[in-house]
Amino acid sequence: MKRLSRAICTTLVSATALAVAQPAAAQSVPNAPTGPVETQYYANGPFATTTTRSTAACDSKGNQCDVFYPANIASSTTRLPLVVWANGTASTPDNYTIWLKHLASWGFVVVATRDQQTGYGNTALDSLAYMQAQDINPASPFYQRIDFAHVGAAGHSQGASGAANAMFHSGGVIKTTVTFELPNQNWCNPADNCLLTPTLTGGSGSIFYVSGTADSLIAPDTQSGGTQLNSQTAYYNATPAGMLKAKGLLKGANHNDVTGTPGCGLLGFLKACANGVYGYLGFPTAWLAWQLKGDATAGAAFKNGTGEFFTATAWQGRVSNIP
Amino acid sequence: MPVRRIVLLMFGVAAAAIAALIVWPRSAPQVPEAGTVIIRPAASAASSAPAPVPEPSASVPPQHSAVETAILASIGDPRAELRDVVTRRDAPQIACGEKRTARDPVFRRFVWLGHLKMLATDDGSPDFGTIAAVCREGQPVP
Repeated sequence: MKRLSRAICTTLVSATALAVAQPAAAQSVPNAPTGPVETQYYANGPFATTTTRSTAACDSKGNQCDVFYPANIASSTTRLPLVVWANGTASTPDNYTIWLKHLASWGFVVVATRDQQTGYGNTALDSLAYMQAQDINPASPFYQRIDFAHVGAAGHSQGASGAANAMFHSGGVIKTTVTFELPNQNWCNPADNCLLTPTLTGGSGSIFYVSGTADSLIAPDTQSGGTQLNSQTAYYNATPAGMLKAKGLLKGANHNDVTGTPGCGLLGFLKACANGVYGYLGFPTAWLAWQLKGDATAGAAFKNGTGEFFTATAWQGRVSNIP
Repeated sequence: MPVRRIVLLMFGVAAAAIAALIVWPRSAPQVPEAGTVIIRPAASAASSAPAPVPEPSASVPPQHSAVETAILASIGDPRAELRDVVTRRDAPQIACGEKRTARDPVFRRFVWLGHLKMLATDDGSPDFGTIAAVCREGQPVP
């Protein structure tokens, strides 16, 4: 009996040590990447990252901004593309650190207001203006470091509306948007705290709609009918044909998986989180690398019907108009 | 013995309190949907008993439950009203009822996911019916 107990203990200790020793990316996580582009951008990029918080309010509602960026930004020989991030309802950048640091590791500067009600997109635009001010401030670590010809937006839930609204109201400064779990227009309170149909249909830029198959209540793939845009497909179809656009759903992902780590569902069953952010790292990063850094190989992954995105095993409900 | 008297007295007080709770007259219960319990309607229930009428200028803020307060905060409209708010007995983070706002003065059904702080409003589409199914006890919690 003692021998059996000792063996069990030894096994447990060994298993624990092994789990601790392995990096998260090497562990078996749901929705692992399959093709070369997804695999490349699923992994963290080459840059060590750091984070800073504005010492004063960076938006018109008095919120501070967090900025995630490559630690060697001062020695960078080129200006870096900027991503403006918008939080979901009642969330702060603290809820998205894995995703935001992942972007910074790929050479993006990410500015994220700490606003918890971002649907209008105005505070995201404020955070963009804050970075523009930093870029001309010699005392700032971002002095002449930002490439304002390559600015994107991304956001989650209400923040997905906020990111898209920011792009459509940026006068062309924001070139592309990635929306995570963009809610049905059913969920917009008030209605204009949402991506409204006239805003969308009159817009320009490019947009990648990302949702999860387990988020069928808030951001489902399809809808039964009606005039509101109550699904990812409806948003996609309402997006002007002149815009580059794509849509896909990560298998098994729920509304808040973009906030989590694998296993977040064990203690987070009330957080609509099951598998964590990992499945979301690959293609959304590739989209931004294509649109903001000119990675043509990443862009080819979204080619309508034949790109790598369309054969990735973790995804379904995929469409694009990328030639 | 003094100790025994004290114990008997405590039992007596407890029994009286329980009896009072049982026989105390209450307002007529509202009929909830199956599997739900009423928290509190936003509007006061009509009563045949005479009640003091407040002065027109008197501004008495309505009393709201914690759930109603959270819902109203999410709407962000000081003139918003709720009624017939019910919560799921097996998932108290989910509440359903009707709301109206200054910009949309008609009472419309809503679904509240408190753990996500999200509120869906009935747009008359079948999709809202899908969302509203979450109000029923036993349905999967998103």
